Amino acid sequence: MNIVLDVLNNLGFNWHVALANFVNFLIILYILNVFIFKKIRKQISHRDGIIKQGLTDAEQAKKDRENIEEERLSVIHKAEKEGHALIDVAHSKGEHIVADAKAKADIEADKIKGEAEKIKAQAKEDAEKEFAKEAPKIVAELTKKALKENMTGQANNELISKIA
Amino acid sequence: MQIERLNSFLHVNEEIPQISSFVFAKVGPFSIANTTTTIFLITLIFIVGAFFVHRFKLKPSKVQHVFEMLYETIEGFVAQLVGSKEKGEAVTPYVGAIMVYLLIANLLPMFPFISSFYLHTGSGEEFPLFRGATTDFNTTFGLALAVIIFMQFFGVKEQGFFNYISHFLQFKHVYRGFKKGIGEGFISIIGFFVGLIEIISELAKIISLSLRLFGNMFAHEVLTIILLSAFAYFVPALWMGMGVLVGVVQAIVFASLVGVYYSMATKKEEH
Amino acid sequence: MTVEAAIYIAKGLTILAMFGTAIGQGYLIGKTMEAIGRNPEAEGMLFSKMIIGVAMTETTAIFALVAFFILK
Repeated sequence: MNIVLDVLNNLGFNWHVALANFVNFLIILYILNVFIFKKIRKQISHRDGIIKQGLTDAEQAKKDRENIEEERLSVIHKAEKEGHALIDVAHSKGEHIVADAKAKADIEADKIKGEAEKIKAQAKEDAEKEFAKEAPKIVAELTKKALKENMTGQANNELISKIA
Repeated sequence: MQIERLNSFLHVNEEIPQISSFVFAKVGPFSIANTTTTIFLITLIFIVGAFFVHRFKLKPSKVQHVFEMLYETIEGFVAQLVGSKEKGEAVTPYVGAIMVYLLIANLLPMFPFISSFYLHTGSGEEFPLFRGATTDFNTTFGLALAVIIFMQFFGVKEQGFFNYISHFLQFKHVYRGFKKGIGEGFISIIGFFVGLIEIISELAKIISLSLRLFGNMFAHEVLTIILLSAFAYFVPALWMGMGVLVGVVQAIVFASLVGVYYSMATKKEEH
Repeated sequence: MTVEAAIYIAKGLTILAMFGTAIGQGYLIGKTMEAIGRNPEAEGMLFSKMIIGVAMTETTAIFALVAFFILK
């Protein structure tokens, strides 16, 4: 043991100084450890966390925006399609309606024509009937009139042709 | 003794520094030597640094950028040393602190004027007020002692007290060996002595860590002074530039060895 | 020959430890350089390992230095 102490003494070893330096080193270690290294670590971790959060947020926002854009496009597309379909339907319906109306109008027109003809025929018949009814009277009257006048042969002939 | 400084234009004659530091005051069990004052100076530097760090904000300023860059470099180095990033993050406040402390302690004597403060005692002696902290065996011994104590602490924390102690006192192994058979038992007795040697090797770590750092730094200082007395310009400048390299490399080596010891102490072994 | 002279001779002999250390360090660094030349990606890992190795090799020289100071 004495030899070891001798050797250490030759190296300038001194328990008191070593103790003082040891304690000083512990103080320095404490300061560096707690007030510098861990603080910087905390700061860097904190900032890393915030940056990571921001990045994920931005990613999310981008994704959201893309989704919304897609949705919007699809909605517009759908609406266009629907509109086209509606227009087609309307076209066909309109044609249908027009054709229907035409047909109906034709039928109506035919009907009206027929009716009109009927009425015409009726009217003719009526007129004929009337005439037939009135004819003797008229004839009688005409005859009376003719008879009243100077009945010549020529006049008589004229009269007869008139009546006929 | 009076230092005879026969300074001529070309030579700076200084006394070759004593291997022991000069004790000029005593406070209780502590002695204040001229290396202790240097450590006080370093402590002061770190307190100023701590104030800087305390004012750090989320949006970094230029100073903060420098600090954080240094920190991340050290952390990357330590992580490479201990093997994994998580372990590196956990141990950087210790290993990195030792590294930064040694960097400053090794490089502080290189600053001009730091080593030219002299203190005069009553008996006519004079000695430099700030001697390089690591050129004193007491400092490096205290440092290595603290490191090894910390390593025991980490080993116990990581592996559990009895598990860690069983590396050194392998009673369990001897018991198991004799349970298996006589031959195994005698082999386990050899293992028991190897375990005892492990204790010696822990102590040897203190010596080798402290002597390596002290030897390098002290030899460098001695050679600087010899070169200064031979020719005061240019040649010592080259050697002092070499000294920066030596200081940095020794700080890195010390921190590396601490990291290696850490990963050795916390390695989980299957029995 | 006085004891003092013997001590000085012994001190000179301890310097011989540098011989082996220098060879060892040169070999170590040369081998590392070779390895880096073969595989430049592994430079960081190799460099830190080399530094540790150099420190280990240097230990012997430091022990010689200690012996130098012990001789008094």
